[in-house]
Amino acid sequence: MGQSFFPWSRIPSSSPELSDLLGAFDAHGARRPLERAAILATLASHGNDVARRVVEGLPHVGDRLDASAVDAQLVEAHIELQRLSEEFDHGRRVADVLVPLLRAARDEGGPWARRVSDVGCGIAYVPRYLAFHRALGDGVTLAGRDFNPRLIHEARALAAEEKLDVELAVGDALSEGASGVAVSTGVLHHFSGDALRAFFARQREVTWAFVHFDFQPSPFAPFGAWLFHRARFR
Amino acid sequence: MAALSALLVLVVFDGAFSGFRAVAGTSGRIDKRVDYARAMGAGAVMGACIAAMVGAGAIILAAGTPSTPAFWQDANLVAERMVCFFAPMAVLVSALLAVRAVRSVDVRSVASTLMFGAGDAPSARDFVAGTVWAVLGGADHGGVAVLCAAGAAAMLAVTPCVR
Repeated sequence: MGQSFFPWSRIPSSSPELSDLLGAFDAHGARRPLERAAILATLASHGNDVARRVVEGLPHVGDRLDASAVDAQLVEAHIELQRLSEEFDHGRRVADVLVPLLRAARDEGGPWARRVSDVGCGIAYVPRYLAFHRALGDGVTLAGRDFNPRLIHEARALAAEEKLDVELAVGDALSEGASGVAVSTGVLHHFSGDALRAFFARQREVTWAFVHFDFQPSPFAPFGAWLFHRARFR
Repeated sequence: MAALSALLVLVVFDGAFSGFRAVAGTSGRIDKRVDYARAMGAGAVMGACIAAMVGAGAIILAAGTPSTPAFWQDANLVAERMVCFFAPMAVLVSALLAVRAVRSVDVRSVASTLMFGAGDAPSARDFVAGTVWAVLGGADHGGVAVLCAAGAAAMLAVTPCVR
């Protein structure tokens, strides 16, 4: 398949995300097998040569990718992604939405106002930012959940370094009963079709409100993403 | 001497920002001021040390040339050309950094795009181009060219060394 002249067009929009293929876990943190040939075949079938080259460069034993090496890459990628969040002042923008939301929840009464859960938190930039800046005031539990144990381990280490009171654990934020307000950043685009509908249905059952941030699809999005990758990433 | 002094300032400035570049994106902490300050300090010190070594090398070479005034004239001319090339970049980067102090995501994004997006300018490529241009236009004395090349190579090593 010929490569596009423009570098920002070289990743087909139909291709699954590489992080989804490499970071497929169940809700208990058990990883699905990293079968190298299967992953390469999936990427090749979608014409995603960029991701295919990344996978070809990852250490492997036989047909299994080295999980530690994969996790190290995912952690590095998430730290670089945090730069993007910082560039867009994302933490402050989340706080700007949550503060009036929590005020409204308190006016209604009940326990809803006391918990903010970051769904698919990765290294938990948002809850750590909110904790560091005390953006939501006292009495609000800041939590983060992710299926990837390595990312949660990294998030806990970062929170401990700066003595931040954030509740971080492997698991599904929406399976823990009343979840207060759910937030997420860059998670929604990992769902589609029935999975997305099921995600929202569960949220309606267990959260008082949910706030999701993700990239707005537009003709300029691939170029913008490429430019910021070139400008701000290694 | 004015050009050589200005070049020294630029070298320290570049060293500091090379240090910043070395650590940017490597820490997941919320408050990275200490990380950045340490890295920029290390980069600035490395830049100053490189400038000192190049200066010492120039003094030694000047002492060994038949015409010391001609050597320093050469060195000053090359320094002037380097300042002409790199000072505008430093001013632009400083201005864009000042713009990033505006608390608007749109303004910050545009500043970032202008500063970093234009082929990741200023880059190693620009650094080499500026040095070659300065040397070709001014260095009759081979020793000046060698010192420039050595200084430029050392400056390019600041980022990986701080990292």
